[in-house]
Amino acid sequence: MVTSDAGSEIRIRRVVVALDATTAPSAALDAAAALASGLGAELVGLFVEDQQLLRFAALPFAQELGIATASARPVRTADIERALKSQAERLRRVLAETARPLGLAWTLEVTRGEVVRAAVAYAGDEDLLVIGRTRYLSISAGPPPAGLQFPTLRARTVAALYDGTPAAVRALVIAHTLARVAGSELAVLIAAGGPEPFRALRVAAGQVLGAHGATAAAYVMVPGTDPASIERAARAQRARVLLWPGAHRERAAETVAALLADVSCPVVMLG
Amino acid sequence: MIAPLPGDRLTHSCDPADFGFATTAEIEPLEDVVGQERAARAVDFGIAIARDGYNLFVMGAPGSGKHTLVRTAIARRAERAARPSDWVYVNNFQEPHKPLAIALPPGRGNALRKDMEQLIESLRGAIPAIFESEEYTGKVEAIDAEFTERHEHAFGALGREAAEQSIALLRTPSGFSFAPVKDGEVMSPEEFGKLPEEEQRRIESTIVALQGKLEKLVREVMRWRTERIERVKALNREMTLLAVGHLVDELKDGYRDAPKVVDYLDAVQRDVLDHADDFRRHPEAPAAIARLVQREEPSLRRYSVNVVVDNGAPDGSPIVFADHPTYQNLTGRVDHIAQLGTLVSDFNLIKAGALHRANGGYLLIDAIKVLAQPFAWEGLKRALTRKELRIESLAEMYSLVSTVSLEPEPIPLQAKVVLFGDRYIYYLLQVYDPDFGKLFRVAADFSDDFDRTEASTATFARLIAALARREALLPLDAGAVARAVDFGSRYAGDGKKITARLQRITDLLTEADHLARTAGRAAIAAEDVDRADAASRDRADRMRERVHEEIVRGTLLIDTTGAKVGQVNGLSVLALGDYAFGEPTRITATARLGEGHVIDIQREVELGGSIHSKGVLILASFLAARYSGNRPHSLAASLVFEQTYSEVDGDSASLAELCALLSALAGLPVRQSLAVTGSINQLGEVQPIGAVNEKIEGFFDVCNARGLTGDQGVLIPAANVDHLMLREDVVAAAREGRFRVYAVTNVDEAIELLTGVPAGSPDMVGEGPQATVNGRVAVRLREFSTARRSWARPGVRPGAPDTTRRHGGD
Repeated sequence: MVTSDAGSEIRIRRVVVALDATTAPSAALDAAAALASGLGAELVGLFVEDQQLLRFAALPFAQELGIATASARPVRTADIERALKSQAERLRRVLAETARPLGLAWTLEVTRGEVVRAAVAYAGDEDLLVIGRTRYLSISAGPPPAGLQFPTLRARTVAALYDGTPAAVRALVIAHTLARVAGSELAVLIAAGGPEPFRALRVAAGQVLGAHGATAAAYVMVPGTDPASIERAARAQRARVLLWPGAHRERAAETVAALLADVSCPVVMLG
Repeated sequence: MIAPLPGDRLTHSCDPADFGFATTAEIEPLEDVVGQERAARAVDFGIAIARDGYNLFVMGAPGSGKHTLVRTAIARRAERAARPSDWVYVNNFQEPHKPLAIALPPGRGNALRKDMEQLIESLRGAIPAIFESEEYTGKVEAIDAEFTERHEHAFGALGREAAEQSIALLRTPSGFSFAPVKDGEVMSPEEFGKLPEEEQRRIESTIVALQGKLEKLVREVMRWRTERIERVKALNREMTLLAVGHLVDELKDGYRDAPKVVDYLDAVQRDVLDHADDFRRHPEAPAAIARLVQREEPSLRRYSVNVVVDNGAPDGSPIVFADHPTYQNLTGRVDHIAQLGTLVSDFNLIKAGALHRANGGYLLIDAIKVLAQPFAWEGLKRALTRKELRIESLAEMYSLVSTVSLEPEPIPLQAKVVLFGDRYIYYLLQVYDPDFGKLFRVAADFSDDFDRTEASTATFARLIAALARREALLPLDAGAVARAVDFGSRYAGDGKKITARLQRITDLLTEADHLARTAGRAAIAAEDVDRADAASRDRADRMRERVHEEIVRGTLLIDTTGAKVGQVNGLSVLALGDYAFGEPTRITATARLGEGHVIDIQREVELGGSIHSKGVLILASFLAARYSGNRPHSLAASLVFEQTYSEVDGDSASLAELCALLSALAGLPVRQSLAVTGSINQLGEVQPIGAVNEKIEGFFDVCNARGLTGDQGVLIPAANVDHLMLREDVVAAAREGRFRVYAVTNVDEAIELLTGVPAGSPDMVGEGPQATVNGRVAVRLREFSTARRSWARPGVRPGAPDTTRRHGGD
């Protein structure tokens, strides 16, 4: 449990990391584990089985081109179900291995649908939602240095989008918690239309952080809150996690989906 | 009849007054080997000549100073010689099973080992730091981003192309696929089934076309993936080089004089660049595994330097004595260690042999030891023949083990090998090993003794002075030195020689030193030497005492008074290791009519050695030639060593046996107060024998125990007089006329002394009363001859009187 600058408690009961068959779990899971550790929350893995895939597999001409072999083979619904089940099991093991050294309580939930929508629908008010980015292919330089906690976050930047709203304050506090736990730097992306609002918001953000004895490594002006602007700012800061304050819950799924299409890191949204 | 030897001929005493010093503390010690000039010349030549095959075989009796002389000569030469190279084994990165051998200036082997340890320690810090740096991760991310962008762009373009035809590009758990969409959702089978057939075909053909493009794209992706891996590898090498390059360059600067080291360091750098990941931090192994594997990380062992020869410490050429010259101890070995249930090895487990350590110097080995060790002799010869040190495992050679094996690079060998051994080993090797002569061309033959002259006695005194100093003994007074000289002669078994086996002298003087200290003396006195000698004899005297007791008690029958026909006291010697003693043995002979054969009962029962048999055959020939030259030799005789129950050998009793036989033939009794030793030849001449002193003393002891009568004595060959070094009590008895030693030159002198009857000439037969031994023998043999002829005549019945028998008179 952490407190906002106003002294109100930010109660986070669960950190939900949403994953589907196409997401690489490491960065999102690392961020989720760090948050759960820092906030004293339960870690929940939410594996979303893609409904579209199951429907596709039922088509009579359904074929799959193997990524490792570049060869086509017929696909049936049972094949997809087996593969999804196997992935869920794999995720269970990864969750267990991640949570054990941190002493975290954890669970794995499996649901069907589209990952962002399903995650938004699943998360409650006291949940943090971490969603990894869907990629066509996963590229990595190999295993991260071993023996480190939160290896994908260490010596990297946690970025928080700040627009002065109460949700943004909460996101900033949580971002600070994440940065502290993971040993990362904190960059504040300030959504402002010009220099004046930026300065004002920067002062406000500084005060929020100052109340927690923290400072940000950088304050960056983001001209707009559109996904493309956020993506550019996050990339410039080499952000490994983006704290998105969220706005209206009903629009969250669309916005996050759009954001994930552009940014190259997992997005954390408040429930 | 000949006279007994005077007392002064019975020993060769050294006069302490001749030395001119009170104790050895006053004289200059001589740290050298005496009386081995020929051997010393051979050793000097052998170690000086720098040619293949000129190794040495140093032969001689144990304790004759072989090792001392050779070590001194080699040390003299070695200290002037340049130190040979150090040798190290390092990993061969191209062929790890063939470790590389590198020569380095003396003392630099360990320096290289430490430098490499330092380098690896530095790299263990520097390389992880490089890979954890912002710079590195940024570059990797840039590469990843580039390829990610390339993927996204390519798949995005294909996805858009598909979307334009109402087809979705889907990511499945293990690949990609295309599916028709309607209102942003993948069509269900029912929806698809409701489409007109033509539309269905169009969709399917579109998907087939898109799949063709996807297939090409995926193949392209595979190529990109490889390209990315190569880019990251190149980056890794580039970054590692930043950490490694300057460290290795600094190291190379220190080894410009050793090009092979520079090449090795280049190879190390290449290997580190290829295996930088080995230096990155890895999680701790579980404890159970950690206990099973080596403490050092195995992957970094390949950068160690195994210093097999370190010539950093001593000056000059190495001198190595191979005390336990097994095959592996000589030629080196490759050890194995058990790791997770298997035997593994690497160049770090190469162990040097004595030949490695002696390379460039000298290797000293006891021949018998190297010959006794399986394969060691062959291994030594192989190394000397090839002139290189090649470590070969016997177990692998004979397929006794099946495990990882190494073939270390051979090391050139240039060492002088010195073998020490007995003469018989040298001669056996010369005869039976054709390689031996080619490899050990120099023989240094150490004498067992040296001449006892005034000069050599003085030198011997200095040698004793050195020995006393070296062994931290009390100084010896002149009397003790004189006793030591006499002991040396007695040990040599020759009054005109002194033994060269100084170890025995050392033992005697060490024991004398103990007695002198116990008596509180400041110097070892003659009395101490005598007591030490007596004590030494006494410790080994059990068997002699037992035999002596049996004789005195009459269990072993030896007469020392009276006279008997056909019975002579012979003298034999029993050698028990380093201790020998003499004992009288009764020899008896019987004679009868026969066909000229002398039966050696010892031989008949296989208790006689070949030399003994030879002696009997010689005396039989002498008898036949002297007495039956022109008539059948019709004698049947038997000779035996009474009360002997083990093998008798040697011919030193042949004079006694002949005398017993002559007594039997002549019917003349032999004085039992005398004992006889000496060998005989076919002409009746008496030849020298060994252990003359022990034999005389053996008979003296028996007589002395029964009471010396003045009539007792021993007959010895005249040629042995120079060898006499009798005990003081024997000499004293002789001087007082209570015991006698006679030196005889032929059988006639001996038989005269034994019978008290003139020997006479065998040619005098038939010309008067037979008052001589020879005459009586000749008559008796002629009677046998005549009897034999009569017995052989047809019609004569055995047992009937021979009417034609001629009597020889008397």
